[in-house]
Amino acid sequence: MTKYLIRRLLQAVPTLFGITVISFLLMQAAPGDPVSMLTFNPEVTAEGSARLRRQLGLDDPPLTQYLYWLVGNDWTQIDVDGDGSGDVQGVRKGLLRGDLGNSLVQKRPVLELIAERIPATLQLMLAALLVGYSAGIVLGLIAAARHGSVIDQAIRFFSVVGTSLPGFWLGLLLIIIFSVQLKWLPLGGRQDLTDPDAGLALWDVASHMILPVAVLALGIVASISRYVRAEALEIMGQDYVRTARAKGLNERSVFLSHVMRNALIPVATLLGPALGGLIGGSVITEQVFSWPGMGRMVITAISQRDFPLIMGTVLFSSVVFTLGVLLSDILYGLLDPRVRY
Amino acid sequence: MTTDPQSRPMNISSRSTLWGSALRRLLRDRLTLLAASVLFFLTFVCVLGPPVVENVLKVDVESTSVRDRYQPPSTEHPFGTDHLGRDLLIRLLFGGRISLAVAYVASTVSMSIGVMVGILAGFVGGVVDDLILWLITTLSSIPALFLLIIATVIWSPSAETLILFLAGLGWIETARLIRGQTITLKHQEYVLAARALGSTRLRLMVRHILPNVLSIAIISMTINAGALILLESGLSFLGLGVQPPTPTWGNMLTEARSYFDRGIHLVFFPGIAITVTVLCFFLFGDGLRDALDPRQARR
Repeated sequence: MTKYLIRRLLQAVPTLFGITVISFLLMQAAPGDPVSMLTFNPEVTAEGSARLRRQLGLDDPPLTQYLYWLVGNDWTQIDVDGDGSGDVQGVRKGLLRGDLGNSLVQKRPVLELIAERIPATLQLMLAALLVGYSAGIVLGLIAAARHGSVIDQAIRFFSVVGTSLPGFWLGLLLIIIFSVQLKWLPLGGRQDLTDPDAGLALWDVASHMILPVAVLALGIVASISRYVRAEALEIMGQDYVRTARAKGLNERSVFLSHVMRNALIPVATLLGPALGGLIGGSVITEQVFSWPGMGRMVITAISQRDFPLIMGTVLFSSVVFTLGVLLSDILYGLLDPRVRY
Repeated sequence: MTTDPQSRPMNISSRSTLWGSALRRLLRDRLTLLAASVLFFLTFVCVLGPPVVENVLKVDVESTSVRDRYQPPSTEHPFGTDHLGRDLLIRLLFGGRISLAVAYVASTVSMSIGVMVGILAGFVGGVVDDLILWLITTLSSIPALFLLIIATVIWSPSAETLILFLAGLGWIETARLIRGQTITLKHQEYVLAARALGSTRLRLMVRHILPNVLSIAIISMTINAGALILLESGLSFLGLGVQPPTPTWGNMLTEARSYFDRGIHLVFFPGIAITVTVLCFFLFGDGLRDALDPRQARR
């Protein structure tokens, strides 16, 4: 098991490296660097901006820039006045030590801004995962057990429609129905759990979450139920299920202890893709429901052309996604010994 | 309990080919046929509708009318009118032209890239395979919507460039599938036989591997088309897709969002158009899979 773990961890390294390369290339392709934005200021002289460019390392060759971006430049001297020898100690710590740069608009470290928004996004995602997985598993198992019946058809239809609905449209319709017409639920926003004024108004917190979680969970329910159903049907054709029946076990025990338990194992592998869908989906869902999470921050950053913040968030989400896939693989390996060849 | 399709008595005719028997299975599958007909109908009206509206009915599509704003569906305007008094049905037809073009062109391009890259990686193997697999893994680790968002922010796209961006993302999953299939196929005896007869690598790939991965490619192209429409509409919703006044179903929905209290039809119809189209692509893809690969058929 240790060997499998180590091998799987090492496999993630080239992927993470690739993510940094792509992020860096995209950042290079972005129009306008921080200094060229300053040159509109009449008090900035050509010489001053040249100094600044050298200080920020914008004239360095791309490979050097990538290196400094990745590992920082606090171990070298920067040549600010352009005379060929270093004058100032570098201050950047680099990506590997958690330095994602500063937001151009808010003038604060990107990592700090992300950290502020993470709890809200995580709150939605975990709730959606929980709801999506439980509902998906239950529906998938029911469909398999009642295979071929009207219930089965209905669940299958639901899962195809669920994947075809644009999330933001569903969100809008839900808002129109439940918030505007019926006035049961709030239009959007988030009630902070840690807000002292909120007291123990649990309903207040929950009522803000119902609609966005429903929208986010729908995709997961659809894919999980489909997968569980197919997996359970596959297992019902296996020899050991026939053996279980032959030895006189009743249908209920066969389904619960032979089919269900084995059908649920591969569901672990869906955690990675589900996470990917959630990260993308939360950008749109947070926008629809004015949920103050990371996705909303990205959209604001985009409208302000705040590239360090955009890139930082993308990088952060990609790393989280990669780790999620890794985790689900390891989980699968733990649950199913056949994987660890 | 479950009937194994292989144990069923089969009508073995001497002239039965893969595509012939697939077509026969497809023609028996009513749901798939329905999905295909709806897609065909939508494509037909969206391609032919706009020129007819402009040239035969002589309706000026861009003409706005303050008096006719937010009209609910009526006989004159079957789907009502929007915030500028334009007929929603006509706008939907024009929008569909772009949205469907995105789906068809982007999915075709991405299938072609995916097939080429997948066969190359699977067949050549070695360093080439390692590099391509690395690229595939890396690209699929970055959430697709984020990549698209950044690309559209950096190079604000027209409809044509957007299609290219979407195609640039859609090939990844196809390539992964095709690569896997190619690796299985290249160890089969008929490939060995062809090689023994002196076939070049290129001929092996084009004549012996390609026809056998085509069914997977077509299935994933159909599913991709639906996924790309969803992605495009999501992008439009964030204000990053094709920009108004060029209508797409996505940006019509975005515009409608600000006026939904003036009439729910503004939100309802573009959304239903997207959902139905995507649903039909998915159902058609599922049906194709059943027809082309009966062993994996849904039971």
